[in-house]
Amino acid sequence: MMRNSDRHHWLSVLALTFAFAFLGAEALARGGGGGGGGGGRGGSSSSSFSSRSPASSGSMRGGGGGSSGGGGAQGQKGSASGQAPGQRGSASGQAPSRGQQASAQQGSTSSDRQASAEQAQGQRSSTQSQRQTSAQDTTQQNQSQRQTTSQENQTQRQGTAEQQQTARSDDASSRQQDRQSYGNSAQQNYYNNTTNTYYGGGGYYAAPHGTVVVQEDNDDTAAAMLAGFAMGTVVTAGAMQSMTASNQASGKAAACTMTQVQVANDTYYHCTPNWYQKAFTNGEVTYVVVNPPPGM
Amino acid sequence: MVYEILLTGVHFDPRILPGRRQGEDQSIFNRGDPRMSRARRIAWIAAGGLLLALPNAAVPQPDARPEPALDPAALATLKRMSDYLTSLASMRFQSEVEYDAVQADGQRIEFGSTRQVTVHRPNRMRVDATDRNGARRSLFYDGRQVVLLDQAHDVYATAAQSGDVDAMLGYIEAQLGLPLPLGELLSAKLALEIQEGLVFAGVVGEETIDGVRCDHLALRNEDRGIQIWVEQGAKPLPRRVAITYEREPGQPQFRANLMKWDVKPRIQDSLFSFAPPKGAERIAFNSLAGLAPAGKEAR
Repeated sequence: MMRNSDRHHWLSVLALTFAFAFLGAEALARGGGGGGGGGGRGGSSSSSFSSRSPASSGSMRGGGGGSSGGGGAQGQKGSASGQAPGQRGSASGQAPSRGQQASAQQGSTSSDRQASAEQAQGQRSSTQSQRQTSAQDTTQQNQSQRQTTSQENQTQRQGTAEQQQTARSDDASSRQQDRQSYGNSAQQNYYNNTTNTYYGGGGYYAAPHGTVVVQEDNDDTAAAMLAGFAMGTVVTAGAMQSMTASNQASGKAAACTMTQVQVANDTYYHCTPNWYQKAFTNGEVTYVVVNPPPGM
Repeated sequence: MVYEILLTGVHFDPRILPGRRQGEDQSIFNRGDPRMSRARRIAWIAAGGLLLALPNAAVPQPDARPEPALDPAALATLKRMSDYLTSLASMRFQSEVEYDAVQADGQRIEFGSTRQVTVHRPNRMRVDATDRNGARRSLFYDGRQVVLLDQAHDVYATAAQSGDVDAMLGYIEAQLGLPLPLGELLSAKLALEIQEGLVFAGVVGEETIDGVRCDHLALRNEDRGIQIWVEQGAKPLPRRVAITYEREPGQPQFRANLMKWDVKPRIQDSLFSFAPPKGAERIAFNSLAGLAPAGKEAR
């Protein structure tokens, strides 16, 4: 019969074996996960750590996420002032249309490019017809041999011109599709990225609901900035500074050059194609995409 | 019970709550029994190893928590603190604040600031904050307008607001997205603010913070765990607060030591008035109501 203490001892040894096996497996798993994590961080701004956190609020009230005590607390206070719920609904309704506006803008630009390409093709056709007529007049005045030669040449030229025209058209169409595809891709990546940084609807980010917040300078946000942000988009001061000033360390070129325009009491910042105004968003200095100032 | 000891380090036994006297070695927060034999301790650790090795299904989910339990001793201490704070016509203190920001890869990075808070009831307040990176911001409230000044960017914004400190705190949080850390402690409705939605309140024990003997309270509401260290004696001031946002990814924490309390500060009204620094740019608040033009005040 095994003594009580012996039984404890063997139970301990057995259990410790399991425990170490488990911890070993955990350590391995963490090792793999850590590598993945490193890769993930490499995809974003490598030197900056985000200081955004629901914990920064230091709020003790429960219910919902983050500082604002969730939708409940905000709703309550909003009701008291008689503003927040309607405004939030309204802002929420605006957000998709802003997105659609951006898409429409992009579509419109594509259509413009297409129309322009077609117009160019038409002009080339017209010039070609003129050349053809002129060549025909000339051949009528010349000998039949030269006429034949001319007609042959003309036929060849016409054939070449048509081929070139088709090739140009295909090329233009292809480039246009490429641009559109890249734009869509960059825009999609940008929205995917910024979705991760948006905290709304009861979260601690209390900017107008649906607001897109750009807080990182990366290829996607820079491309999206060049294409044009939707109205109301918020760009943190850090991201704006990084995207508008050439970064000596990384050798990156600036997405655009910022100019400052004073209109009455308001200061506007222009970084083609968008206009911005500085504003505190959740206590942080940011640039908010606005309509161009009057007269601009 | 075993699960609780191993997974949370806390042993909760509701049976000892009624009649438990403060200061007795009956804390519901068990730090381990020194009388436990070596063999038993090894057996417990080993059993823990076995339990950890089990699939997650065997681990109780966060919902499997004890029934709501509010220790009268903890609530009494909270009430003493609330009553005392709300009785103060003016107060000034400094807080050393730190909080976790969970990064995309899950790492928790700590940020922090030092804040000087001055309140003169009913409708005056000023906060001067200096982040660890040197950035400085100030909030002014003089009963007519709220001003936020960012000295690093040399910008400020104003918003018309009247009413008492509570009204202002509600406004800046709900409308401007500008919550004031531990703003509840400045509220005239402090007791209500803290106790609302509590599902647990207990006394961890007596501890010393910055040389001051305190009662360490543990509270929980729907989604966060709160610890408050309340000074013992005639001035039951909060000396430290730690809040864990349990439902947020990575469960970030906010921590603050509250020090240099002055409950009868000599304050001049000019402290709450704002005069724009020379050359500072006036900008707007990007509020829930939208972007107010910089030249006009947000509402």
